[in-house]
Amino acid sequence: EKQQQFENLDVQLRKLHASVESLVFNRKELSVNTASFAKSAAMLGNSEDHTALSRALSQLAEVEEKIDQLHQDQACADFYLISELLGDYVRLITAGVFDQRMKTWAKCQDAQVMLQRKREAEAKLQHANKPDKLQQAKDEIRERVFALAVKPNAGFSDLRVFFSSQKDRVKDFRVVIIKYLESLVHTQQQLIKYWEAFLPEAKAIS
Amino acid sequence: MRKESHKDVDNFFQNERNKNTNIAALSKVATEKLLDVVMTEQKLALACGHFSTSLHLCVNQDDAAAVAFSKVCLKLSDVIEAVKRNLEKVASNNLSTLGLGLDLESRYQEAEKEMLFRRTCKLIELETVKKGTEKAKANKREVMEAFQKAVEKEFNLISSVAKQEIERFHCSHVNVLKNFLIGWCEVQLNTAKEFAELYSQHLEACRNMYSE
Repeated sequence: EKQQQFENLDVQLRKLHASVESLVFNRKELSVNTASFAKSAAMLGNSEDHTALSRALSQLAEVEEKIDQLHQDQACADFYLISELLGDYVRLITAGVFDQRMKTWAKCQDAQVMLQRKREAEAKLQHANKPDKLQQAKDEIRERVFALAVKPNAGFSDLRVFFSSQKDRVKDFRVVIIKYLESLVHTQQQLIKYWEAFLPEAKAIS
Repeated sequence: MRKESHKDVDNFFQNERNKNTNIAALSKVATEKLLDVVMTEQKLALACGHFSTSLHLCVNQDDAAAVAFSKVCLKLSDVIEAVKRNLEKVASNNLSTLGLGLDLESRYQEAEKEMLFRRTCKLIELETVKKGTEKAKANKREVMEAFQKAVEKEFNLISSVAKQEIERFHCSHVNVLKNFLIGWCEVQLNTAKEFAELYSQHLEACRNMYSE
């Protein structure tokens, strides 16, 4: 059941990670397009004969350049706060599950081979009529059979440690949400400054 | 193309043609670049929508820790949904104000270009007729001169009307762009204030919730 929970969590986190990667990519593309528009507005401003309109268009270009910088900063927040956190959890789960499964499977295989050898040795001892050594071989076979039944479950003990740190995961995400909201508030406050500075320039066109 | 680059006899019109060729191209490019920005804003809004939905699907009530994680995911989903609405609003503002203004400016410049081109074609016709009249034989000269006068009259009328239209256009296009720039700035300012307030409310709620 724990393994199923783990796999479900793995699938969920991967979907989230893919979504936020798309968000980061599109934000960067917005930054590029904003910079391109800023350049075209600057060129239009330079070609305009009417002085006040020319100045307003140049100011528009400057505002767009500043907005481009805000987009870049927000893309960094998207990436470093959310994308990297989700990526770390995905990598953690992948490494833990895959590595543990490989080790457990290898151990099971070795144990099976050893058990087979012991059974073959037991058969030889039965024919050789050595009761002491035969009893010792039977005891050893019983222990190995028991170990094979327990080992696959014990192999997932590291994953149980991961589950017990879910509280840390919740705390990580709470911190991220607060930091992300702070970045969003900061962006809007900067935008307010830029628009409030530009408005008189636009109104000054006569 | 050869007609478009034909040298003018009037400095006013030659300057106007040069400026118009330049500004028509630049305003078209600016319009296209702004539309690219709007399209990317819409794509980003869509990506936010997908991310918000993915977070919403993380709801899990297996145990107390899963419930706590689900609540956190739902909160982040709300925040990302707000970001999506913000981007949609900004894109809509861009399109309905500055986008419209730049598109109109681009179309005005194209219309002026066509008007100047028609005048240039008439100028070429006049010059061709003048050359024809000079080379005409005596018996045809009178007819050619009468024709030349008629073409000259048409050309002068076109030039006079074009000059008035150009001067009127220069005044009105400044006002049109001014109004669109003011409108654009005001809506974007209001949107920024609206979402600054919304994000601040989310932030306050999160800080209170997580400090408990």
